[in-house]
Amino acid sequence: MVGSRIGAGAALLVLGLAGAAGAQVDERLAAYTGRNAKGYLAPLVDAFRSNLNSALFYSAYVPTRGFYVSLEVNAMGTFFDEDSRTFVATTEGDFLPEQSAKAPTVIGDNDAVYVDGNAATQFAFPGGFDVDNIWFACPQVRIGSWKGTEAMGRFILYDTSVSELGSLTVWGAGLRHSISQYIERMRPVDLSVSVTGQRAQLETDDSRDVLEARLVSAGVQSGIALGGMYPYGGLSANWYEMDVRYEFEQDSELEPIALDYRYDVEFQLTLGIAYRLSGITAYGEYNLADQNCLAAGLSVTFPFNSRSTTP
Amino acid sequence: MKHVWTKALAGAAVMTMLGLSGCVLENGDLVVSELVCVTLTESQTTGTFSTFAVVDDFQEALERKLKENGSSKRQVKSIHMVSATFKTLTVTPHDWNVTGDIDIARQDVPGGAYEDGPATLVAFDNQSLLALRGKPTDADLLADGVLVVNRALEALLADEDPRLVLLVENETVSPTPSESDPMGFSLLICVQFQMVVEKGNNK
Repeated sequence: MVGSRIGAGAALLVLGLAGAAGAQVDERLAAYTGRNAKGYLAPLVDAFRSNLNSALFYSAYVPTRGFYVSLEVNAMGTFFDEDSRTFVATTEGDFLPEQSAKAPTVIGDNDAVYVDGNAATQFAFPGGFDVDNIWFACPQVRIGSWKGTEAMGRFILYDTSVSELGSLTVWGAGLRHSISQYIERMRPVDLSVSVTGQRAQLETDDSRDVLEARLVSAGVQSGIALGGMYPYGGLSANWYEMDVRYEFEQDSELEPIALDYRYDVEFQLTLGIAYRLSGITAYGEYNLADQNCLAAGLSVTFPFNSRSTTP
Repeated sequence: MKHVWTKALAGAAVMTMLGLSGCVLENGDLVVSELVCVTLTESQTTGTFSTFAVVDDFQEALERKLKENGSSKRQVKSIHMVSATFKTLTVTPHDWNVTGDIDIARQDVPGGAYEDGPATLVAFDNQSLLALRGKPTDADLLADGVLVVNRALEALLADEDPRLVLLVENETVSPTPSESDPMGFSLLICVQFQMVVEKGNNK
């Protein structure tokens, strides 16, 4: 029997289609084995990258000394372009002749796409979820400063409540160092450099990895204080890879499917603005990269008079 | 505009603050595949013969598959045949080259009249039985036979229980079987079909 059950399935549930919707991703993935599944899920993988690469900073200013801690909450949203809605899918199994067609990705149109084969046979590609954008939220903490250097950390733990999926863990850590502290004539413009590493892992209850993603970002940031407002920008280089593992039932046997997403270095331009009132800062930014992303956040800094964006 | 929120459980307070309370998704068409197989076992002492095999578990296969996916017949937008394969499981005492057709017909009542067909599903021309390995390229399907299958599949959705009969009409066999050299074989015939299921909105 050709089945279509994904044992550990719905790996991408965690990438945006949470909860009950995850099971639906699972069912659609079941129609695909490796090569099509990779294209089908690619927009979500890209969106995960874009979202994680956002809201890493909202100021290029790093005090040279003095203790502060900022508790931050970020929301990041990726907006899918038209190209993300389809991919070139290839017929699978015993269908003849093998042929390719433009089929919906997981975020594409709802309607299945059919291709005609030999002798009145047909092959159908599943529809998508017709999603325009995906939002992601994460808390973050920032601690400084030692010689113009601050540390940032973010951590997400999400229990999928699905035993076959287990829990998603995302953690990231980064360092930012002030460059403008060394260049007096740069004032009032701030300049800093940073490096951030992030890792996401979805592990089943029996310790099998369903998803593992690694992301490294190195960049330079700049900004200037204009009263309470702080416009900022940054340019970064990002390295990203993701592995997805699941099982596909065919002829009553479970075949392991491995989807390895490997990307060349991606460059990202960030433009944003922050507004600080006492110890609370609100910020919003737009990130231009392979997949554009909007992010906004709120930060509470202790002590309130520290780490002002208007030094 | 539709939004999909990833619930980042960093704490209930954070969740509440951001209002990540759920999502509404417009579910697209789901494609479900299933395979129905039948084994034809024969022993012949002549090169020209007719025999048949019955496929009567389409309905069972369809209902099982829909149940697995939490769907019902009413949600099936379309159903169609994807492929058919032919694989010899045993060939004795040596290879045989056969020329003949496998026709297909719908015959809901055993021994009764045909509701549809017969029509030729596949034609073999001097086909080595040992070379039938269950690959789709082993045999070219014919549209008339596929359409009989497709109509039977559609009948399933109308709560009918179609019974398909595979009719083997063999013309010649080389070498010619005889009492002293009988031809024996078992042939696994599998038909794969897909259903496109409309899942509706998911909250």
